[in-house]
Amino acid sequence: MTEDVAPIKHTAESFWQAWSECDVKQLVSLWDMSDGSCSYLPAESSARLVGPAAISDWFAATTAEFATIRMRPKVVHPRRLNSHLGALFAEIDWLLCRSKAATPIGGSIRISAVMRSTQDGWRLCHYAEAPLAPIVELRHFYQKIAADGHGGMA
Amino acid sequence: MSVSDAVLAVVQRYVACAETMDFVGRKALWDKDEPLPVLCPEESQQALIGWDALDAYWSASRQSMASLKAKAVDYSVTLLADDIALVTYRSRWIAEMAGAAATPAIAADVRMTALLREKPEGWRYFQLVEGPVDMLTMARQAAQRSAEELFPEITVR
Repeated sequence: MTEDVAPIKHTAESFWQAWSECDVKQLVSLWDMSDGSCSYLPAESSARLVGPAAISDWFAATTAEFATIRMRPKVVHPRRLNSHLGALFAEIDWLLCRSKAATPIGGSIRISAVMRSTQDGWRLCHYAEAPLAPIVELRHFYQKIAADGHGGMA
Repeated sequence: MSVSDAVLAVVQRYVACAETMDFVGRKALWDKDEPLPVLCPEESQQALIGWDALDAYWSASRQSMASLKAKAVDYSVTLLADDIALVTYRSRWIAEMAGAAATPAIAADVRMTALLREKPEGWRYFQLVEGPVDMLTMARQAAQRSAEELFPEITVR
């Protein structure tokens, strides 16, 4: 089996770019919306969004909520599962800002995704956002403050 | 037994291995022929890719915890192909740390996303990504828990 994973990686990168451009139409176009069981697990949710309508609505609501969104991949591991299925693990950096005047928030997150080869190219059918354990993130935050020393106090 | 039931049985065996911290048993439920297994534990800064990384993690986990319990709910099995399955579930782990790090038990709920393929020996993992809800959501959950404990007359319905 040919292990050409570049198209899988390209679809993922296009998806993150579409987030960064708040382009709902492009976000939707990168999914296999003919799959009624396609699912998306947002970082803040305990339950998956299942089905094209739920996922499309999520894209629309999230892009409307934030003035600025950035998704920047730093580690991407695509793989072919068979001739028509692919999977991907990735780590990306994200940034969200509600308005031009608001203070941005950001972090890193891990991604588990599955794609299917369609006549339009590789399209997502499952996507899960997996944050690092908050207990670990908080420890890192404490360590960063310690690294600042007392000079970082306001 | 249906195909979905067979997949689910393997995942439930995997979860059950926590009770005895049977990481050898967990490894046996991974596809031994997979050259690049991916395991992303929620507490690991980096994803573990490849057998050496997985073996080192399981070995360290066995030594760092005095006890571990896990229970999972909300299983969902999706057959992506005849021999490939996507399984999602929520797991609550409860751990007591060993040695100098010993403290009262800690626990968390983790959203699991697993990919398994069918092998002659049965369904086997080749990718497992763990993730709790994000820190902002967990902070809100912690504050809601505190409100319930401090003001039960207002918050408990």
